[in-house]
Amino acid sequence: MCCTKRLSRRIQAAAAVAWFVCLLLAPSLSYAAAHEVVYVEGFPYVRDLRGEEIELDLGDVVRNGETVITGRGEAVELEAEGYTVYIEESTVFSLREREYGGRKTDVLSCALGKLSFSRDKFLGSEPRLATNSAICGVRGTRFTLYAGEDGSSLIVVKEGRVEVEAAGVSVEVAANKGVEVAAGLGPGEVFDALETTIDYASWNEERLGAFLEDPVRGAVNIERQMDDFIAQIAKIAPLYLESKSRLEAAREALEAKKERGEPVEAYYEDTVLPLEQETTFYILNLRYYSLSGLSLRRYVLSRLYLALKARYVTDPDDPVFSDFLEVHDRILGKYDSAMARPYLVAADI
Amino acid sequence: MMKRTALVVVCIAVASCASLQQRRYTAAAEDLIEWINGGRSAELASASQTPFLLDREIVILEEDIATFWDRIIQAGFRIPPPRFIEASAVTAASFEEFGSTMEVQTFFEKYVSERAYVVRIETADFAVRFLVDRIGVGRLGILGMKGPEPL
Repeated sequence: MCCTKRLSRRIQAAAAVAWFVCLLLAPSLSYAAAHEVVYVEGFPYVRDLRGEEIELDLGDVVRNGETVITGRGEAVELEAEGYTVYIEESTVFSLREREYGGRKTDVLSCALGKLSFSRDKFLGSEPRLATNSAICGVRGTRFTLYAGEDGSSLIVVKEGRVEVEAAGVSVEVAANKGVEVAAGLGPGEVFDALETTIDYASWNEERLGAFLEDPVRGAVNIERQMDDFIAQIAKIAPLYLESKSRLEAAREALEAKKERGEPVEAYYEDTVLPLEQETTFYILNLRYYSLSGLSLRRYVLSRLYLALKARYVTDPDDPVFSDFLEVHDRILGKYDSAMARPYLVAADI
Repeated sequence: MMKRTALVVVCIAVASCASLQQRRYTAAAEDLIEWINGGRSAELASASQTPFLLDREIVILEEDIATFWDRIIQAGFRIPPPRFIEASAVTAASFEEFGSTMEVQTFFEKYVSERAYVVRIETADFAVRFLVDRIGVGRLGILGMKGPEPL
């Protein structure tokens, strides 16, 4: 426990510095697609990296780390090189990035609501799509992603194939098929599904109804999902510290070579640069999982808390509500100590 | 002697200014009670700011706050005649009244101005706190709510 705290503090101190290194190095690591707004309905807005809310307009570019929020009757279409993303009404969409197979990869994340992804041509950089409970790899695809209020997801494929991964289990979903993923659990059975026959509002209402019927079970599933994010962080954190320490040693060696007047280009290319990339990827992934936790907290757990608080406002001692609060408290405690304090900054809040 | 008198005058002026503010926020709390007891969820929603702090939860979406007010009104939440209403100016430690988490602390640092007040309403059965601020000429903004907490 003491070691974990010490580790967290060391990471916290290093995180800010590393994050800037990461931003400086980012362009050299791989191509990050620009996501331009090509269609707007209503007055959706974007929460930028400083946490400020700015109304979206045609031609605006959504950057990594930013969140697009649409209200009732609003929509946004984003175009990147090779694909388009249609963000429907009452949806929270974030553009994030993380490392996959040694490459910086865009992650199009739908925390709540519905979005459709359409790949027009393959240009070598495939983004991933994520919800609070699943992550999808795309293969020349047209598909729709639904993120429910209880944290569950529904993926319906129109063309191509989608690989859906959740809780360490992967399934492949082909055209005209769908799969549902409950928060904290693996993907369910793949079923026949036509995108046109799925009504998001009814599906979401059904999910919310199921949660309200048994809020404790729903909260435990969310806890499981949060635990999964925390476990990923716990796995990456020591690797990051080790990589960072090797990088510092390599940089010192580089300086020493310079002082001795020795050539340093080859040493930089072969030793320092790969370590810089490795360290950057670790911090990128740490941020990714922390922001995933924040998204689960903000757009699922908080909203469910509101729903239950309103339901039991005149009867707060109801055992169902008390049991829910117990799980809720547990999740908050873990989130605060393992994610928010070490890895999130004021701009994220 | 003159200096001491001037200092006393300044102190009295500051104190009366603070108590004037307290009275204004106490009156504002009475408006809130009236809105809640009159089932006026539209007024509550319109005065609510986002992000909104509900207990330890930060609510981002305006629709969620409007739905919340609708639902608690529909659920029958009312505030009986208070035993007292207390308004205190926000301090660096005020976040602890809502929760000692990184998020709540950041919420206060980032979204709550120094002129905001925490208004505590205590009835015979429960206490409820509102985080309030002026958001324009004669307009009250609700930034947060904590409770109701049984006494």
